[in-house]
Amino acid sequence: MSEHRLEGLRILVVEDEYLIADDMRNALLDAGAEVLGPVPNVAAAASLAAAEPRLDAAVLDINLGGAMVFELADTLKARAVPFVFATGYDDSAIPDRFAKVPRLEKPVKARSVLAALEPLLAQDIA
Amino acid sequence: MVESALNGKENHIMPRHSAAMLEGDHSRLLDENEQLRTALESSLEENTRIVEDRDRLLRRITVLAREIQMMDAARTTPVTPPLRVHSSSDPEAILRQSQTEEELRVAFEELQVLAEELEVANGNLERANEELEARVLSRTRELATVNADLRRTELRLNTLIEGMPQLVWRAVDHGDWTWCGSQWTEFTGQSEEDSRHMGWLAAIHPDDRQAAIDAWGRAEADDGLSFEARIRQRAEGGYRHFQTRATPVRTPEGAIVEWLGTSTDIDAIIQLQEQQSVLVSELQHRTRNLMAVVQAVTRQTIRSSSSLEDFRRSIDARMGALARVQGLLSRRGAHKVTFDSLLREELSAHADVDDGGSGPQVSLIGPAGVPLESSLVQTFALALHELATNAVKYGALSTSGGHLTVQWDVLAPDEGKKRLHVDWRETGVADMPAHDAAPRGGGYGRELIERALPYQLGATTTYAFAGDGVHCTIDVDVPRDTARRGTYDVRTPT
Repeated sequence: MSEHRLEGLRILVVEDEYLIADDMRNALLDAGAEVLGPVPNVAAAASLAAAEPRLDAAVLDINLGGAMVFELADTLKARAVPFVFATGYDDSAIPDRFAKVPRLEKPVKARSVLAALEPLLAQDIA
Repeated sequence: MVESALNGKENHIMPRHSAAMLEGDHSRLLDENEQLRTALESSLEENTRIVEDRDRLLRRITVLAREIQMMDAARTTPVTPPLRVHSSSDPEAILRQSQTEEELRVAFEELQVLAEELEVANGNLERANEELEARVLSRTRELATVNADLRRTELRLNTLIEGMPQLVWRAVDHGDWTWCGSQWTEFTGQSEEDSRHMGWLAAIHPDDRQAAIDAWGRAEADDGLSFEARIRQRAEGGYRHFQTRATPVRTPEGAIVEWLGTSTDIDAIIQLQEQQSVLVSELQHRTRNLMAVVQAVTRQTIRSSSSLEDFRRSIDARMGALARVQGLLSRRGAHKVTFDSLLREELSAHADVDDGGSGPQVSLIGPAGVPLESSLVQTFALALHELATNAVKYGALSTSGGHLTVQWDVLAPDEGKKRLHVDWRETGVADMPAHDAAPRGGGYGRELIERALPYQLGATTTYAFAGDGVHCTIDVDVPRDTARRGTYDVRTPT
C-alpha cells in the first residue's frame, strides 16, 4: 500500500476537537497531503475555503461546537469540491441532500479517510 | 313513559345498556297488564253471562206468572195465592196450573242460584279491579324510581364526560360528527355546531387531514378508529399532538348505530420522545468523540514514549485524567463544570492537598463556581493534568523547596463579556532547562496549552520557563446564560 496516496492534494480539515483534528492532520500529512486547517468552526472554515482558490477535498465534522456544518458543505458542493463527513451521529442527523456523501464514523481511521476520498478524487479527475 | 324518557334526552349521552334494562322492565309491565286485562275481561264475560241468564229467567217467570193469572181469571174465582188453587173442580185445569206453578218454583230457584252467582262474580270483578288499581299504583311508583335513577345516572355520566381530560365526541359513518363535548369547543375554539358533520377537520393540521380521513375509511373493517393528528389550540394558536380513538356502538344484530370517540393530548409524550432521541444522538456523538480523543491521545503518547514502560505510565495517567473529567461532566448534569472543581480534581490526583485543593506546597487563590464552556472542559482537564504531572516529575512538586500557586479571577475587559484569567506559577525549582531545550516529558502539556486551548475556544495562553519554575497563563471566555451566573462574583479564597 502506498504511503503517499494523497500526494500533493490540498485537503481542508474541519473539526472542533483539537486532539481529533491534530490526529487527522497527522494522518493526512503522513499520506502526503497538504492540510488546510484544521479549523474548529464554520466561520473559520468558510473564510479559509473562500481564500483558497485550489481545494481538492475536505473532511468535515458535522457538529462544530453545536453548529452544523451543512451550509459549508453546500458551498463545497457548489464548487464541486469532494468531501466526506466524519461524525459521531447516526445517519438521521444528515439531510437527505447529502445522502450520497460518504460518512465516516468516529473514531475515524486514517486509512478509511483515504479510502473514502480516493474514489471521489478519481471521479473528479475523470 | 319509558320511551318518552329516552326520546327526550336525544342531545345527551345515554348509555345503551341502561336503555336495554328499561326495555326489559317495559316488556315485563306489558305482560302484567295483559294478564290483568285478560282476568278482567273473563270476569266481565262471566257477569254478562249471569246477567243474561237472569234476564232470561225473569222473562220466563213473567210469562209463567201471566199464565197462572189468566187461568185464575178464567175460573172467575177471586184472586188467591196461586199455590192455593188445588180445590179447582176442573182436574185438567188443576193439573195444568200445578205444572205451571212447579215451573215457576223451579224458575225462582234458578233465579236464586243466579243471584248468588252474580254476587260472587261481582265480588270477583271488584277484587280484580282493586288488584289492577294496586298494581297500576305500584308500577307508577316503580317507574318514578326508575326515572329518578335514570336522571342520576345521566347526571353522573355527564359529570364524568365533562370532567374527562379527553376531547369527547360522537359520530356516524365515516367521521360525520353528530355531537362534541365542551372540551373540544374549549380547546379548539370551534363551536359545537361548526364541528358537526366534517366540520371538525378544520381544526386538524392540514398535513394530518388525509391521515384522519383514511383512518375513518378503515374504521368499520377494523371495528375501531385510531389515528394520530395535530389539533389546533385556540389559546396558544399552535397545534398539539392528539391520539384519537373511537369505538362503534352496535345494535344486538351488529349494525353500527354510532361511534363514541375521544382525542387524547399526547403532545408531552411526543416531545419527550423527541428529547430522548436528541439525547441518545448526543450521547452517541459524545461517546464516539471520546473514543476519537482516546485514540488521538494514545497515538500521541506512543510518539512521545521512549519505552513500553514509559508509555504504560503516561497512558495510564492520561486515561485517568480523561476518566475523572467524564465523571465530573456526568455529575454536573445540566450545569457547567466549574474551573475550581476541575483544578481541585486534577491536583488531588497528583499532589498532597486537602479537599479545597491546597496543601503544604500548593496554594489555590480564586473564586469558586466559575463555569467553563462544556466543549472546553475535556481539553482543559488534559492540559491541567499535563501541567500537574510535569510539576510532580520535574517542577515545583518534585523538590521540597518548590511551591505551586494557582491564582484566578474573572475579568471583564469588554462590556457584557467575561474572561477567566488563570495564572499557574511554580517557584523554587533550581534545575530549570534552557529556553531552547527540548521540552521534558514530550511537551504534550505545553502543546495542549499553547495550541489546543486557543484552537477550540479562542483562549489566549502563555507558557514560559521563568527563573525558578514554569509560568503559564490562560485566558478564556466565561460562558453566558448559565445556571450558576452571578455566583462567581463573590471572591472566596480557597
